[in-house]
Amino acid sequence: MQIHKVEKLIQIVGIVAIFIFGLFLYFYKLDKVPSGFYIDEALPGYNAYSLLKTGKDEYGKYFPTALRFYGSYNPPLYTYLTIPSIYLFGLNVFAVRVPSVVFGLLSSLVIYILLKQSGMIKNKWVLLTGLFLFIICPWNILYSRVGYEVSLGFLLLSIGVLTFWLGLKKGQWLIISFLMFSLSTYAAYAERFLAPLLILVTLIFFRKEFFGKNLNRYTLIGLLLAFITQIPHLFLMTTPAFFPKSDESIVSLVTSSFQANSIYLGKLVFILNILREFFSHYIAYFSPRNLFFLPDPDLQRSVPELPVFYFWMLIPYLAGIYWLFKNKEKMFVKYLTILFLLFPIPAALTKDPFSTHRALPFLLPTFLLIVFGLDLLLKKLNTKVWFPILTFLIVVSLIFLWRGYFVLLPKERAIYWGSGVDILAAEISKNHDTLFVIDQARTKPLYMQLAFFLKYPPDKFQELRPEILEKYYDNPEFDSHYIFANIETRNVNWEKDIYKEQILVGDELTFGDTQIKEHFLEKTFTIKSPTDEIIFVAYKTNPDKKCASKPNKSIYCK
Amino acid sequence: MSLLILLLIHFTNFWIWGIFSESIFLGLLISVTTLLLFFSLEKSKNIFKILFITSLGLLTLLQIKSTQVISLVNISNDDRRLIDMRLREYPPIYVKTFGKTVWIPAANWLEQRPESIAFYRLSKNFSEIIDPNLYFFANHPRERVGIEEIQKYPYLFFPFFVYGLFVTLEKKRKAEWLLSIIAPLIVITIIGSWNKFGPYSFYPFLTVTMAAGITKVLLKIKTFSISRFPLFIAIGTVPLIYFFILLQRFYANS
Repeated sequence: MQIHKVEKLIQIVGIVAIFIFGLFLYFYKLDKVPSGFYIDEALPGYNAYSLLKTGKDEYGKYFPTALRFYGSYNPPLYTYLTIPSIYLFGLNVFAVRVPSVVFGLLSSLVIYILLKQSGMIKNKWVLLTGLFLFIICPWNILYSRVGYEVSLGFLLLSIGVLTFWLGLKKGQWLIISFLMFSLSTYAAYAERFLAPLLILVTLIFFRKEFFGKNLNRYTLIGLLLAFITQIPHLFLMTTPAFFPKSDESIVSLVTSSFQANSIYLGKLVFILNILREFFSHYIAYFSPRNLFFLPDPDLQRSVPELPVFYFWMLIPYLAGIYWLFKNKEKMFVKYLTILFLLFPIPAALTKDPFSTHRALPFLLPTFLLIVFGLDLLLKKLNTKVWFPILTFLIVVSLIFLWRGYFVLLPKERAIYWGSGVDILAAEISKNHDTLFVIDQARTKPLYMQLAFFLKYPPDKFQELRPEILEKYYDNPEFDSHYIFANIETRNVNWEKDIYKEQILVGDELTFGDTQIKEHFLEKTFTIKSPTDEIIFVAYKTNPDKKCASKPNKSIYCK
Repeated sequence: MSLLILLLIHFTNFWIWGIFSESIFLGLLISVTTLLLFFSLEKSKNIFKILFITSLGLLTLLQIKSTQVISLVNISNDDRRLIDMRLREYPPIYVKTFGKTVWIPAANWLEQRPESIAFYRLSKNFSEIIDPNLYFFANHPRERVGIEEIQKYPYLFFPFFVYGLFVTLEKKRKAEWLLSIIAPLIVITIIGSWNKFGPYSFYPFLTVTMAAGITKVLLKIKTFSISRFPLFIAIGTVPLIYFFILLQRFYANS
């Protein structure tokens, strides 16, 4: 009895200690790493600010079901939950990232409870180890330290998975589970497809339990609740806002590279091509190369030299898969197998190879599998053997985490994270009498980051695009041309812009030496990345000199 | 039946025909090694074991000879540029003890030391050969730069390969099978896979494992001993495929 109490105390102390470490790890330099502020963070940030101040988004829509942003129609929940943070900390990078950190840390607790409630862990130390490993897991750290909605989607889905499992024993949990699954569809894209698919498949597999005498009532209440909460989505489904990313599917990828020669054979080959494409993407999510050795190929969504799991986790991963096979008759294992096989499907339907952003839900079953594999391996080893080995591996993991995330990422990926926009905004603010034309030829739309850093009044911003409000959900086309404050965002027009007194801002390729000389452009400032690459360069036009230099004056000369 | 299945897989994959078209000797050696691995697992005769080990040794030796070995520690000009850039990215790290400042050369250890460089390259080589996409999708969707990826096995064989792994792991007699994984794994991890035919010393292991998987599935179907769980998976897969096809159609039309 006494030993049991001591063990319980150790567990509680362990959880608290790990959580404190997690708080430090997740909040350390939160506004500096990743260095920069990406448009996908600025959009929920500024819209939360706009909703806080006016109750409407950037276009003047009152609490929309999907936020239009730049035509992406993002699920709205993360933006809504950012409002309190903006209220508390003000409109800054830290405030936008805080909710994500909270969701990431809460997810670790859900994972801990799920591991415990699974009843499959033999070694009690593995529970604490699992919690710690999840806290330091690069996949979770990357998406919990940025203002992306996927962290919230992951948390809600994880709670859904946990309560679903608990619901098999105690029916009331099922109601929460279905509600969480339903809510997760308002948090992230992947969950929009995954949650209904998961509900469907689990209902089929566990139909005896769910529609049995004990759980029948709760299943029906839960499903009814899920249906009611999905009514806004049902309306949204009739508009382009529900499927705004159709061009990112593997179908568009296959279509673009496919030319059919015969109608019937062509169709068959086309379908086979799609199947091959899908399966190649799907299997890639299980591949050890992608999980344990290579980072995401998207440089904006990966950490240099750091894959989503640490290399050594390959061994418990393989052991975990073997464990699945060995225990396939057990209910929790069946459940985990379903999660493991289903969760990469939405990401595999898109054309990006191994997209860690879209496949974030897959972190849950894969991580659980790693922990179960670890438990299986540790069972075969003496404590004197496994403890130093595991400690060594954890220390090595922390060194790699520090190297990749805190040393290389802020420098090498600054340019991909929108670094320098805050400095640009400061320059614009400093020269408030001068008009700035921000070239958009190669860069991602900058209007939102600029509005964010300039703290541009939302009520004024809402007046910029009144036509969008009329058909808010039917308007996915995006135009990067914005005029607000002393800014104009568009491509530089070399015929007209040089005859007007203003500052042209572009990247390294915007201004050639000949253009600078020919148009008498005068360098105003240069903004560089930590690795010395030019992010923005600004030139002041000289219309007087330009007009005076030509015998036949342009029609744009005054 | 299992031999028939093995031969079917052997003669219906793209990899072996590609090898045969370039080198009959290599194709024959791979075929013989595959058959010897199969027989050494099926029959308990020592002669098969000895012949298999000899044949695998020869195959591994050929793998080494035909691969463009890349040094684990030598660095190219491009590597040098990256290392120099990264060395500048580290903050100064030191510990103060008893009034003395002890500098920790973390940047040097992690970026420049031959041991670290060797570790990164070994990891890269190792990761490439354990990637299922390399064998079933010609490394699609993450093809390697500078390497011509070749088609190996039809992707429909992949589930059977996974099942074959479990089936063979359950067997008592599997020493040769384990050897057919470990020996090529170590060798290719060290020498890399800059080879026209890919990591062909893995061929016997892959083919025999797939054959084991298919054989077991067919036996289960024949004896109707399929338990409910995989049956449900099989039945559940059909609507799942249907679901994503529908989803694709929706994507395409929207």
